[in-house]
Amino acid sequence: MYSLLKYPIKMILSLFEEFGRFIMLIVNVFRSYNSWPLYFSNSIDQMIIIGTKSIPIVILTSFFTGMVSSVQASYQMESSITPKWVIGSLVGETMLLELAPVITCLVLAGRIGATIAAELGTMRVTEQIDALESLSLDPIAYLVFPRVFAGFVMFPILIIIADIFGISGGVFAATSSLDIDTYQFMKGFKTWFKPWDAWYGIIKGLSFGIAITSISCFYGFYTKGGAAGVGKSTTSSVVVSCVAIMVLDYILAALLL
Amino acid sequence: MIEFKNISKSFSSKNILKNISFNIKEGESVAIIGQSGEGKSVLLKHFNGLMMPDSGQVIVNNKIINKLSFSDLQSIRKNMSMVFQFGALFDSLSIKDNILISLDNNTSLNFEEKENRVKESLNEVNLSNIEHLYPNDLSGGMKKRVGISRAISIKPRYLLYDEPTTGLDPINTGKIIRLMNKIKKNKNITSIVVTHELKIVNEFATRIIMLKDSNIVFDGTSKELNSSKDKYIKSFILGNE
Repeated sequence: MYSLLKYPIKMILSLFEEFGRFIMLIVNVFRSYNSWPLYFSNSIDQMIIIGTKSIPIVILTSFFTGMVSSVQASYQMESSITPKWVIGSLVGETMLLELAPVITCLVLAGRIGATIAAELGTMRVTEQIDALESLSLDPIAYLVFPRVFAGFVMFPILIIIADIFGISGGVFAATSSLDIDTYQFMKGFKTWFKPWDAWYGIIKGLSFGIAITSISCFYGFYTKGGAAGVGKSTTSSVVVSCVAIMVLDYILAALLL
Repeated sequence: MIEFKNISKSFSSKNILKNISFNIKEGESVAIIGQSGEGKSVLLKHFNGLMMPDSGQVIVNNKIINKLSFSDLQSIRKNMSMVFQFGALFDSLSIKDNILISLDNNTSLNFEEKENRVKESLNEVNLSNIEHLYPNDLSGGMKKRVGISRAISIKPRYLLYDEPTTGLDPINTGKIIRLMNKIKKNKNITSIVVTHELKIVNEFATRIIMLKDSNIVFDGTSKELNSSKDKYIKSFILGNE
């Protein structure tokens, strides 16, 4: 009986332990506030890596997501008497409320989460983090803060870009293959549009951005072992970031809508 | 002076260090030797607080470092540099920036003085005109020498070396040992080196500490080590089982 329960109990305990260490890392990020201005240039570098360099993949993903949702909305209403401009409403609302923030952040969890975890993990196993500490630098202020701050600033901007290109993709698919003109599409979009919907998507992006960057920093920063350890941290950071996005998505929907 | 008082450290129920005590006086060159996995690097990381003991005290200049706040610990580290096993240079920074990052944090030099100090410390390790290169452009031996250059750039009182010759050919090993001796002589630095290399033991260290089974089994000079009748020490020196 004991051996049967041993594994799940051990797993639950290690989950709590991991969560506790994650909270401690976040607390230490805030504790290092004195050093934040010193590493502001690192934050700018990270904004370029996390934000600017993600723009192409965000545009591509959101544009196609918008196109697909337009085609699917039209398919759902094929035999109904619903006017075609409703497609604009459906695409606009689904993009702003759900698809732009969630799809974009799931893609970025892969791109940015893996990059951060692999980079910090490699620094850990090659003793570069120890070297930073031995040189009297605070590794949390130097490595973790700039990445989390860059996520905090850049993710909302990426979500705005995803909103714009997602809706543009919807318009493009609607006008090119669904026999709806831009005027009809935009009429539908405006009918159901509420400014809060756009803000809601941006708040989601902000929360997901902090979650992805902090989770990836945590797994990278506490990597153990050599190359295998870096691989494990990278995988864990992507998986946990994706799960965190889904959990936060529900929490934010329940709280804000 | 550095004092280790009853230091114990274990990782997931495995004892790595058990009640280790010793003192290191100013100007000494101490080699910590022992088989792989005996806790030499763990012991070295206790000198500058990169690792903290489970029990006992590490005292540097009358300060118990395992009880210091982060900022007080940083002030100890300003006088204690470390050379890592594979250099631990920052991949994303140029060689110049690798040294500047140390100077920025540990000295109050102005821009021009820092530039000069970078050149000076690279010349000290017989490397010049490589400031613009990145760690990936360098060989293993050069990386180690840049690591030494970064460590000495802040003119520390204590210099910690973690296996400085591991993975190097005999020619580069000789270069590193000559360099360590030159630094010791010119700068009057207290050096602590973790190594398997008997050349370091014989040509650099003035005192040897040997670890086995989480304890110190030898503490003396290289002459005493080489003439020891102890079976384990003999087999370590001769490489026999």
